[in-house]
Amino acid sequence: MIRPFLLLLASLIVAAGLMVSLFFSSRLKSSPSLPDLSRQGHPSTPLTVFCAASNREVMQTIARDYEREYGVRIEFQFGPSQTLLTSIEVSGEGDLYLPADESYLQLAATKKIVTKRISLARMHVVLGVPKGNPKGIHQFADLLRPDVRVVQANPDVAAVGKLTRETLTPSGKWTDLHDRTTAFVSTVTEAANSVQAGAADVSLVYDAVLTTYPDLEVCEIEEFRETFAEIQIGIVSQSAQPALARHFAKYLSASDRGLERYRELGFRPVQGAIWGGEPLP
Amino acid sequence: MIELHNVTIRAGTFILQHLSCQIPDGCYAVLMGRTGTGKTTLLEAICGLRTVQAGEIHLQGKRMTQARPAEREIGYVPQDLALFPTMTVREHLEFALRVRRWPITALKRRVDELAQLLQIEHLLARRVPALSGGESQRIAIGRALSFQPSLLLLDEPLSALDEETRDQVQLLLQKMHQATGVTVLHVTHNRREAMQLADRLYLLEAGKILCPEE
Amino acid sequence: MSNPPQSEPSTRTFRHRSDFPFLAAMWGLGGSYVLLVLLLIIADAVRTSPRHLGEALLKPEIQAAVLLTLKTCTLSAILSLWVALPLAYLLSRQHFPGRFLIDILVDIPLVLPPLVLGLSLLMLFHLSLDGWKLESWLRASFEFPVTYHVPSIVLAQFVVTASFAIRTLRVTFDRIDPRAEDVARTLGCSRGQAFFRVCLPQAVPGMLTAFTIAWARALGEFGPILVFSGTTPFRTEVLSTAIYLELGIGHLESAIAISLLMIALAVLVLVILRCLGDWTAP
Repeated sequence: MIRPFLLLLASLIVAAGLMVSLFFSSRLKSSPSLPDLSRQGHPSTPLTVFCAASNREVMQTIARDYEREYGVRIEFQFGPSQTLLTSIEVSGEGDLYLPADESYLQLAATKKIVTKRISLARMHVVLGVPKGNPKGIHQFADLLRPDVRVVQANPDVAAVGKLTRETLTPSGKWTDLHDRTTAFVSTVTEAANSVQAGAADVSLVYDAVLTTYPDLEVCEIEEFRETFAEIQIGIVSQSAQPALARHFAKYLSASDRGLERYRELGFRPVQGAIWGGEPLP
Repeated sequence: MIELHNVTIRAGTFILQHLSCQIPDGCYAVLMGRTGTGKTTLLEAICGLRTVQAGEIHLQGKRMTQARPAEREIGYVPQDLALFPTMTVREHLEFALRVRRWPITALKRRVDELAQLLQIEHLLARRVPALSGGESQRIAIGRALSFQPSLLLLDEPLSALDEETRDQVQLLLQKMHQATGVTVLHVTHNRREAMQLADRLYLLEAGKILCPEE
Repeated sequence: MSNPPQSEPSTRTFRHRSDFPFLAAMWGLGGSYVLLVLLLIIADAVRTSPRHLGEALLKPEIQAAVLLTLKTCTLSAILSLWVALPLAYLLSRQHFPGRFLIDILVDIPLVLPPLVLGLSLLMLFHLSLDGWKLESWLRASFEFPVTYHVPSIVLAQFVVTASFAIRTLRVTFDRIDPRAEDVARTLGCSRGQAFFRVCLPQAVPGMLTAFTIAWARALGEFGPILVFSGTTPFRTEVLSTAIYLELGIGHLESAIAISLLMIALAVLVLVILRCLGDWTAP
């Protein structure tokens, strides 16, 4: 029978070892990557962007560009837009906030959590269907077919749902669609995932969201031609590095820098200024 | 000499009040009483495992009412024996001595002595689950006696044994008492047992101890 | 007093009941759950492919996440054990006023929705008391950032796993006879000596179970980590949040591949712990 004393001692040693190992590996990571010449000896902590999970790929690409050009590291906190906002509120950390769509920034502005807001791209509401459109969905009437399973984001919780409801209510089409909807989920990503997983035939999503879904394709319908939301980034009012944050936001919204990446990855960027090679603040 | 002066013990809703008695040194005292009259509670109080609400307990002339169990130098064999499931028989006999940091040679000698007295030399390497009722009883007694206490408390030591084993253990108790001269307080509800073993007989009835002269 | 009726034929034999219906029902009910879990794993495996699994494993972020997951889960489980041993022992042995309240308090982390737990941790470290914040103080005095750094992962896991460990050990200590410790005290032990020499050796299997449960729970922890530790790759990304990130951009197959990796990891560790348990059994 093993002496418990030995077990406890072993656990202490292992725990101590783990703590040391974790401590040192984090110390290694926290030292910012060495800058190139354009840094001008500027020691600054990395910029923290609270970013919606849906924008991860494009933002990470742009961050790598920025780091290469200016030597400043961008760190991301990914998550659901509302949770990110609450985290910024509670922790008081964060330099920039990029939610899934601008409705969250409106909320943030009301709460005085963000100051400046910059538009990056436009997202149209479209139908997401499996590649090849097997159910042959081309118009609104197809959504009401009995053999078509529709999934959409809850209009009380997700901005895309709210937009859909706003657009369709005047023509009376909202009630029809609402009754024929198989399921309401809480985010636009979940709606797309349902079609991806085969649990639904069509979902109402943003075209921007579908850029990272190789197995889904976009189907545009007449009703949503003028329905769009914007991807915007906001500067957090409590940011400890507001000037640097603004610099990055400007970089992001430059048509030959950040917006170029957005275009590459299938988004519809807004018109932006050319990057003038502005130095770090 | 064990003295109880006006001891009151409360155990839940059960209460023993104004218990007084004297047990002389070296005496084999048997306490009798029907089941449920509080004999176990009384033993626990004498051991220090239960607090007394009022009264005094004196052991060897010293006031021990508030003393911790370890300070009382009492050997206790509860009714369910409470052997240590993870230890060998040898470790049981050594237990009290190791706690007291006896030197190894003295320790080994004492264990052999005890094993001989209790006739359990062949069981030293065994573990608890492999012991019979009678064997377990011997080990419990041995464990309690190992550190040469001045008082040995036995709670119904023979009740769970079959007749033949009962006689054996009874004989063992007598032999051991003669050999060591330890004061014994033996609790039982069996009259024949009491008659055969007791130097003095005490009765616990209606919450009071009656000490007839013997 | 009733006599058996005389008309009963004396040749009537007592028909023993077959055990088959009973065993069939037990296996049917219990087995259906095992089948369900198996089917879930198979559904995942079918949906993804070895290519995705390979791709996921080769990504440096995922490799870092695996290492971080292993380290933090083990550390949280050990810390949980260290906290659960004394608390479970006290709750089991000592009867003190307010014991009922502490019992309830200890169960609260299990009942709180994970996101709320994460937010509560965030609030604890960023609550401003006249301008003083726990997080700022730790950073300034000890250079020990917690929020969005590794310590927060361990803390987030620990809050939940300790609760499980306490429950498990409570059952263990309740089953250990306190009488033996009482006798140990009459033999000369202090309470502490009785605990270490008599009680703890009996608790070893329970301790291993508590550790196993804590480890497994830490592995699956997601909500509090998402909010309190964030999802920074190479720093606070663990396997559970890595899956979330993959799902966030619709990479279903990749997410499933990482899930299968997690399952494989869990199975490996559980098997090791089970072997350890068998080895230390008396």
